[in-house]
Amino acid sequence: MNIGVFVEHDGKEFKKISFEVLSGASKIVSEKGGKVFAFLFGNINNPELLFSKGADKIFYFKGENLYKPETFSNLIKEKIESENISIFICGSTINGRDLAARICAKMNSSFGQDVVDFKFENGNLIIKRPVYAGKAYIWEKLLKDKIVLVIRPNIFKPIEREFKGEIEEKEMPDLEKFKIVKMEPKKEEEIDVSEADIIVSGGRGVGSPSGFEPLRELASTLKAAVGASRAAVDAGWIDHSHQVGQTGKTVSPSLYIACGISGAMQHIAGMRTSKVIVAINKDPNAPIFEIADYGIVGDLFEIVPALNEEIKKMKG
Amino acid sequence: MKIFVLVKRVPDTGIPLRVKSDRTGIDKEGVPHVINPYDEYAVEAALRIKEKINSEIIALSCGDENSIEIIRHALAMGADKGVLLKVNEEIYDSIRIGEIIGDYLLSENPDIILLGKKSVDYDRGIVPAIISERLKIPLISCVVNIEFKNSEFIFERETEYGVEIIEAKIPLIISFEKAKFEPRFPSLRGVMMAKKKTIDIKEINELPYASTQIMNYEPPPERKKGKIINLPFPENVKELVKLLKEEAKII
Repeated sequence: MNIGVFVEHDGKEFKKISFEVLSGASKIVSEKGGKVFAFLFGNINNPELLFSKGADKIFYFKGENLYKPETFSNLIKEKIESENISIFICGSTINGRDLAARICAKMNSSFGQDVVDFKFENGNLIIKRPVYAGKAYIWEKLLKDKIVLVIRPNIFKPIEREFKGEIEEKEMPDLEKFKIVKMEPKKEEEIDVSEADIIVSGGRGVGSPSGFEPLRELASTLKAAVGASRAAVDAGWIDHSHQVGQTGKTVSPSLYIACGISGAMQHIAGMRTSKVIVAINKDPNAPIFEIADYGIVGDLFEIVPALNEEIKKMKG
Repeated sequence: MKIFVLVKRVPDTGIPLRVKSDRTGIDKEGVPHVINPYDEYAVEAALRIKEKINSEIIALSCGDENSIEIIRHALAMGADKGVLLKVNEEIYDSIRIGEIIGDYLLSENPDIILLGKKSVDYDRGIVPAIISERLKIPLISCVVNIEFKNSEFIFERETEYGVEIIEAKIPLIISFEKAKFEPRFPSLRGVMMAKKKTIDIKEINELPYASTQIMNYEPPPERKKGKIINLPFPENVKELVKLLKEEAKII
């Protein structure tokens, strides 16, 4: 059973989710046989790193580092056919989900979005995934011969191995029907909430854009991402890319620190699978305390800076 | 221009949902339903296009009879007419929904199709790509803003890498992320006018082949209520750090 994997990078480093997806793919071929083909687009210095993470062969389409959905999906479709790839997997990122949907549409395949677990039963792939933003899960049987999957972060641990395979290198054609006229890269220091291992998140209690400052400082000490509730985003205090919950991102970090977040249903749905949840809130009756492992009732502007100092002290 | 905006009826995001005890589905008894929040941005974008370019906006939904209330909502916001592709069962296989809508739109010659990046029920996000492939019309996904320059549209798309500015000409399919603009509330006049606007109902009797089959539903993993650290400041903070380090072993 050959498996294709979409590998993402920013021109300097690969995304952690891509190593996780390669690890998941190599787990399947270790049971079912077959090869893992990594699909790499753009330009990066160390493509051979992918071999140590589980790739058996790399298709490297060289070009500028821009996301070109029509080009990528057509090139991948050709290889799915010529290399007899049964399952194609993307990581759950904005471009990963977009590309997966396009490949599924082109291949007339079955589609597994945001997969958190899977098993094979009588030759069928059965996947587990959240629905209603995590208010429930479904197990679904994918019925078609070809399958496209999107895998959520923090499901597979990246692997390390000694291996060197073949890199098939080609110049990338441009099949886009529209033009990306500008790409403004994101500020480097920001960690994305969907990939972060620790998230420091703020809600209505943060009170203003500058109210996020103590949260950012704590996040920087913990090498964490800054998250936000819908209330904080809708108030315009922070960008939507930070939003956790039903119309934002669903996350499952090791540690989620909720500051001034009351715990609306749609927020809890997006973060309840975090390993450890800390809640800091003035209101002892806030629903967030019902699901928190550790809670402090108090003023976040007093607690968060003190927490930052205490952790700094501990880390030396 | 002929603009189609796709809307779906979904459970209100603020409401808790429970898995039925036999695990065959979600207990939707008494759950209020709303227009899919991402589709609301699509309706607003359609109205903003119409303010600049003479257009007809058609609000389209695929679902059972109850979807009429969601089409009415789009009409009350300002869409001109509605179409319901009526199916008599809930279709959870979103690929089939995309195929039904795509097949209908094939003979409609749309200039622009606007829709949410996903619906917040089955959270698949596959419909935009299925329609794009069916109609061979390019798709720009997860758009957060839309502007016009001469005869070109300019779209803003946000990813983990940054912000892309994209120029494109019609025909186009645009899927919306939570946008940088706010969807308008229907005015009282809008609600009154919506009652007079027509909604075409097309019965869909033959469904496309299924791509998936739901085996069962599961509730999310239970979380136990943890401990409130009832110590005065700053001892409570010291205790929290100790617990995170020694008990949770997380920092």
